[in-house]
Amino acid sequence: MDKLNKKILILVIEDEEILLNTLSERLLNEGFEVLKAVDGFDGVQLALKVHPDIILLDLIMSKGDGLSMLKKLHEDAWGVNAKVIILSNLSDPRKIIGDIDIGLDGISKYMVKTDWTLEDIVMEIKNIINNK
Amino acid sequence: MIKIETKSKIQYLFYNKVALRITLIYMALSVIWILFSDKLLLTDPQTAIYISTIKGWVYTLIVGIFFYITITRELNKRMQVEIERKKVEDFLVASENKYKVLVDLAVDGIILGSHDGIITEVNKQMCDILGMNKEDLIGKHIKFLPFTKESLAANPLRFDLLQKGEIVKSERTILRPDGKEVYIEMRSKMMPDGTYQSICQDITERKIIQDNLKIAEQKFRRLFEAAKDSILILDANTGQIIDSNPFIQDLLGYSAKELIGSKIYEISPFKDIIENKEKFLELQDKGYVYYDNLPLKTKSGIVKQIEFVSNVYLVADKKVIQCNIRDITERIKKEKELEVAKSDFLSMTSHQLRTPLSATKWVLEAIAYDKNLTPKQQERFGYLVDSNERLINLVNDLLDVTRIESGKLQVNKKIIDINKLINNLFSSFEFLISKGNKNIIIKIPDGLKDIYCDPVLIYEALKNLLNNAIIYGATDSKDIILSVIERDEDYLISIHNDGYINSDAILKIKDFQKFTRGIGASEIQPAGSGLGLYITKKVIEASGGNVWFESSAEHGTTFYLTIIKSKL
Repeated sequence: MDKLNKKILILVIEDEEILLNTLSERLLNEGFEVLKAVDGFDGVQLALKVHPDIILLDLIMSKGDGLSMLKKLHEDAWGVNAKVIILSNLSDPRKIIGDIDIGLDGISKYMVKTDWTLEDIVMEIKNIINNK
Repeated sequence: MIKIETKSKIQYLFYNKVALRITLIYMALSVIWILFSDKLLLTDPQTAIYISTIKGWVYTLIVGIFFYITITRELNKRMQVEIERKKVEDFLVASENKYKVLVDLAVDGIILGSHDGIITEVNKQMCDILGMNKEDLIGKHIKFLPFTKESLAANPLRFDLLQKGEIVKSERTILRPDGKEVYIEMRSKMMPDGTYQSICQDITERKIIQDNLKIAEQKFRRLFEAAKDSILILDANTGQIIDSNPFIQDLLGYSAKELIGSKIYEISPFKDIIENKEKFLELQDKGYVYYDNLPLKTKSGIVKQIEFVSNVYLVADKKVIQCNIRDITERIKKEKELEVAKSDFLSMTSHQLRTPLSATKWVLEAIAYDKNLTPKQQERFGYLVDSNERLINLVNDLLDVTRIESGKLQVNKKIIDINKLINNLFSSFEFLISKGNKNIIIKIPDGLKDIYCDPVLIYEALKNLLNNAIIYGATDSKDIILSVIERDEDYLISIHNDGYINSDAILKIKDFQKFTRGIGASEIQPAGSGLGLYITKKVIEASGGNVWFESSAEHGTTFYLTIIKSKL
């Protein structure tokens, strides 16, 4: 399992330092390879460059919001099929992401951060990887 | 009466002539008889004289009797005529007296005048109207009545028209000697004998009411025309537009000429509101109709949002409908802007509140992950985790309630796969399910997949019910059954567990009120806010469905909710 996990590259895009570091540390402990970005601009550049297996994306960020990043990703041949878990504290994401179905299509998962533990996130990542 | 007198004269003359002729004939015959009877009868002269004398007397007597009868009859006739004349005179006097009484008792003031305009008679009512005595009026020319200069100038005395036989009607103002101003209406006519008669009415009260009405009408007219609402007045029987104010002309782009006389249901902007006569009759029957936020297409094709209010009322026994149409396009735009601002505020507030809570949650979890805590630290650490969870739940519920109570809970229905929605739901409860050692049984009929509903709202409701079933279900009960049944009108989703809610607790939660929790719920789950069932009820009702529950020791507890089959 560890051997398999080491191959998994996860890009975490989050502007809250505590959340970014806590989540990244846990993912590293779980054996994933982790890249961090503190805003959407860096995040999208990094994603298009390294093609991570999974992107954990915050929506509301001071620079380069998650929605703009999603749009840019969808313009890219690789990005359109990228696995994205949205990690946001917005309870009604429809207002932000418009027509994209929540947890059903397009996006791998929409998770409200307060409602999910780090362990839940890890399990979700593993589920997505295993279903790949 | 005159007829009778004429006839008696004729009779008199007739009888007089006949009597005279008969008398003369008989006298002549008597003389002849006296002179020639002896010769004619060939008797002796002495006997003849006797006979003729007797005959003469007899004839004279007959003539006398005839005269007596004739004269007596004539005298009787004359007496009869005299009696009739007397009767007529008495009748005339009585009539005159009655007439005087009538004139004096008349409600209207009456002035009689000679052919040259001099007042010959006034009744009591006229004196009262003028505030003057009879003596002060009789003998004066009518033009010296105390008319105000202005009213006399506006309505001069028209003897010329009276002389042509016309009835002259005019309103004038009188300034009485006591200073009081009264309005009178005079109707004058020249009589056959050349005199004048005027009947006057005190119309001061009527005039004041009329003036007030006029002022009120002017005020109404100004309001009607200056109103910022568009107003149409319709004939309630026909739907024909009787009046329209300038504002509606601006709103619709139609001129008053185009509107007035047209039937409301024939004017294109109203075709959506009152598309036909039947709809109009419904409007007429209801008496009051209110439509909010209706689209109205103006003559130039611009669509405006309007508020439409109509009232039926009586104007002089005639039913009219007043339609007030308010252009609320700007208001709706502002409301939408406000709604967006409010919604953004809520979203941002929820985001800002949750960020530190999620940080706390994850950091606490990270500390626990290190597994270097002493049992005491672990116990205290558990308190921290619970407190933070409690705060998270409270924030989530309060945000939901705020959204519900702002009345702007959005329902965005779409076709979703019910299997996926329920799988997503259970995946978010995996930890809780395994912790509570529950066995989840899902019963969805084969082939049932697409349901038209708002996935977020249905997910929210099911999340609350499933959460309750796991947490508050009996500890020895393992099975939680979620089933979906398709019915004619809706889908019935039920969540069942073997635990039951005691009757006291049922009473507390049966209405799904907010901040109400079942008895004993706080011991099982201290972090509960008492908002879950309230939120569930509100979101399901907003989607057009119902939510209820049944609970008994024998059959356990089942919560039901329905998703109505809406048209796409």
